[in-house]
Amino acid sequence: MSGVSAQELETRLLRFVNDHLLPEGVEPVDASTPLFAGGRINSLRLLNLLAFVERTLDTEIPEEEIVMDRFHSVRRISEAFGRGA
Amino acid sequence: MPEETRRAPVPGEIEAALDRRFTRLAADHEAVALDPPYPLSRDFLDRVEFFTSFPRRALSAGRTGSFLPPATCYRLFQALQGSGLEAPVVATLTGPCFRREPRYDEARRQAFTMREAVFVAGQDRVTELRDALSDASLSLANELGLEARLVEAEDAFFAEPGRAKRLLQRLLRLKVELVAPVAGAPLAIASFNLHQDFFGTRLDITVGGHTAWSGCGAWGLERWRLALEERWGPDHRRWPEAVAGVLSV
Repeated sequence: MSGVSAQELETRLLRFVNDHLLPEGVEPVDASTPLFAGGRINSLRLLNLLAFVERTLDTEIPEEEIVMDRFHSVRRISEAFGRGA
Repeated sequence: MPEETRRAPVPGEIEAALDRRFTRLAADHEAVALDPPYPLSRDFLDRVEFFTSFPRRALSAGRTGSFLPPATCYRLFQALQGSGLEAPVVATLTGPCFRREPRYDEARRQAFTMREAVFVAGQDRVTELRDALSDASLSLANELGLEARLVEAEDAFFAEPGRAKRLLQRLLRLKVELVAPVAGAPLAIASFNLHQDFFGTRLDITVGGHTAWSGCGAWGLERWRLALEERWGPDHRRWPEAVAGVLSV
């Protein structure tokens, strides 16, 4: 669905999450860390995450494709929405 | 109990019986009974963005800068402002709630009573309690013979309307409602909410040194009575014994 490969999306997303999204003092995540546990992601951060994914893909993801199963981790997001998924 | 030996219903009696049942349900989920003070200050409602989220809904308590609670749990959050809690708080409280609405009817009143269970803890515990309480409430509704179901609501109280709000609800299930038929249409008789760190951040509440997450379950007493009357009729002496037995009326 996009010109960005799953691998490229994973790399960029992981950098964004660890450098900009997570609150201070929270351990960095890896690609398979569950994002929605331990208080890492609140509503505002989730919206920022979605915005980053859509900006990177240069497309608005249809609402029906935005389900929790596809946002479990950085890897899952990349596989769901990156090219070659 | 045979019908003829049951007392005639007294106004408010069913609500009181329901409240006892909800209190027990909350206690079964570790909640301790609290009665935080009224009223709410303007500063508190500002901090939790009430005036932004619900313009002109708050009713003044008659003194400048003082308001009647629009939701029961606000009294607890006001009391917890600035608290560094060593352990989670799981509490139940009740009281009248007041809201200015564009229109009123029997199911949407200016004043109504809400029993709540409120969880102030870490994310996982809050989510676990919210889900357990919504399941237990559905079971209770079924025991009472109500054709109730849990549905995902789209109006989590703190998000702006529109796509963002829909997506948050879709992903995070911030608000689940228990609905039952009243006047032929589904009416929310309870809601089960995840606030995430909304109150913890704005009110500077921590648990074990971390910003508190919170959630609540809220039962509308008058709405449960309406749902029961819709199902079984206005006179509780004619309700099935099993149903009356659940409420001890």
